[in-house]
Amino acid sequence: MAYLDNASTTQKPQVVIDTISDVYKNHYANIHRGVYDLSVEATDLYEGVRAKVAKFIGAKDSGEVIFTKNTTESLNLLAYCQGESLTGGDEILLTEMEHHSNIVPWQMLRDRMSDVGCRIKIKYIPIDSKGRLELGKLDKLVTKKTKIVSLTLMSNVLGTINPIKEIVKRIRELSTVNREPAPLVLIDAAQAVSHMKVDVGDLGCDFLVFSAHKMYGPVGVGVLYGKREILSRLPPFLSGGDMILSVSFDKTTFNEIPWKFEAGTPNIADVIAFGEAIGFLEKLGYEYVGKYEMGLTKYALERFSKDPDIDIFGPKDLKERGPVVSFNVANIHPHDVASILSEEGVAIRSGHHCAQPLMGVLGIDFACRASFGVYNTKEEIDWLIEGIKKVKKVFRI
Amino acid sequence: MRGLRKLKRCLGYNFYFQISNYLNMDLYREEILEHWQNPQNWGEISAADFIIDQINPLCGDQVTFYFKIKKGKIGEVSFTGKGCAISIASASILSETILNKPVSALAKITGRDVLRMIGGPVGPARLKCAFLALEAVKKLGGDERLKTD
Repeated sequence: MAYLDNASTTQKPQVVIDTISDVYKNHYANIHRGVYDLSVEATDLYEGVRAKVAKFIGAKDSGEVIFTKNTTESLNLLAYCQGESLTGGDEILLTEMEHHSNIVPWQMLRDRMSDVGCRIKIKYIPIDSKGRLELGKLDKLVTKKTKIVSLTLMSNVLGTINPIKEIVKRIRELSTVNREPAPLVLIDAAQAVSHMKVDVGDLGCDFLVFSAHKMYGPVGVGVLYGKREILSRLPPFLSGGDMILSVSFDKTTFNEIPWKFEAGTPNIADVIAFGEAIGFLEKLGYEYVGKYEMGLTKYALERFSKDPDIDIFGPKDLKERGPVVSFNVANIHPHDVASILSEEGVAIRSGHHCAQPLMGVLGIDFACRASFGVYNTKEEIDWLIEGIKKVKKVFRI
Repeated sequence: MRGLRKLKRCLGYNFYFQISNYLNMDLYREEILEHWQNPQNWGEISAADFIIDQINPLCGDQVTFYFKIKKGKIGEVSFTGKGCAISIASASILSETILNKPVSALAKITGRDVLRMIGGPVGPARLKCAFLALEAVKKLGGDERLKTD
């Protein structure tokens, strides 16, 4: 079977699977709690991965790395906690290509604030006909009232890679002109992180979020990176054990970062296994990963463009996109395409890809999506093309 | 395909239904494709007595059924929708079946009946597509306002 749905989730290397089992068999106890050796060992392994993640993304210290359940939870945390600093008239800037998890929490924040008489606005950077952000509109969209700019590094539908460095630079320039503190910049790296090196210092962002399961790690582990001085000022998100310093019946004082944001027993074994997933990617090297995956993407785009019945979405220029290719086949519903492809042993995704607003902008309801990982091959793309020929045959096109 | 229809008639739909899994039947059989390409009773009814929307939130398939009731029967029926071939074909076939039937009969239509109408089983992942129209039609059958008719 050809698994071409890596944008949704990736398959796991043996070392990641084995590590989960090994932790539970040989190194498992609750962390941060016991003074006995096994607990200390488990704690060291867990915190060791935090340090590994910090190094992986270029964070200054591991206190800036918080483990959550996934990208969605990380975004919700920020919408709730950073959202508390917003007041009436403030603005949040997103983009038309965002995943629901980077739209809905902000809408809910807006509605919660509206309930108490505070009106904030959400604006969207539009996309052009090639699926790239219309950066020329930034000057008008970033105003004195813009407090948060949240956008994706790589679109899970279009594959578009956004020039974050350039965008952050422009935003900082605009705030100097506006004589206001620069808005906080949050980057959704969920899609990008398995395909390209992500360095928070290089990007210049204030927050970065991603999930382990999209980069060959286990499900149930997400990362929220935030600059120390910003995270320290935020109120906690979930509360209970571990995130406290002291609790009385009257009140509670909170732990310092990162533990302030890690309430309850965390996903110990999976975090430790996530460390192995990072090791897996680092061993392959992003240079190899990028070159290989873009080779597959180039091949797929070439073969797709030979078929006049296939509509491709997103930039055609390989420098502007990652290995995520959304497409439609004539007027055939993507579910029917995916069903027939599944019968031919090819797994693609079909639907709105948690980006309904983007679907509307593209003028479609649904799309098919093929997305590549390090274990896919050119042969599997050939199967995809043959499968699409079968789809057209069944639907008599 | 003609041979297939003859087979179904000879075996009887019930028996065909039982064995079709073993015959490894094609999901996109003629019934489905014909009704997808030319859906029957397609369109809106202006001044419809009842308009019922049904969406499958997981996949986004959507149908809207329009009904005109005459003396307790489905006098007119039509539908519009956006969805996969299974959901559209199922809506088309169902609309043909329920025309001129009493409203009281709608509640008795089962999923099994629908699968028989569309020519056989669909895989578990596509059952919701096949039954989308049925859910809309059953809503009419269960509508309180019709119980006095």
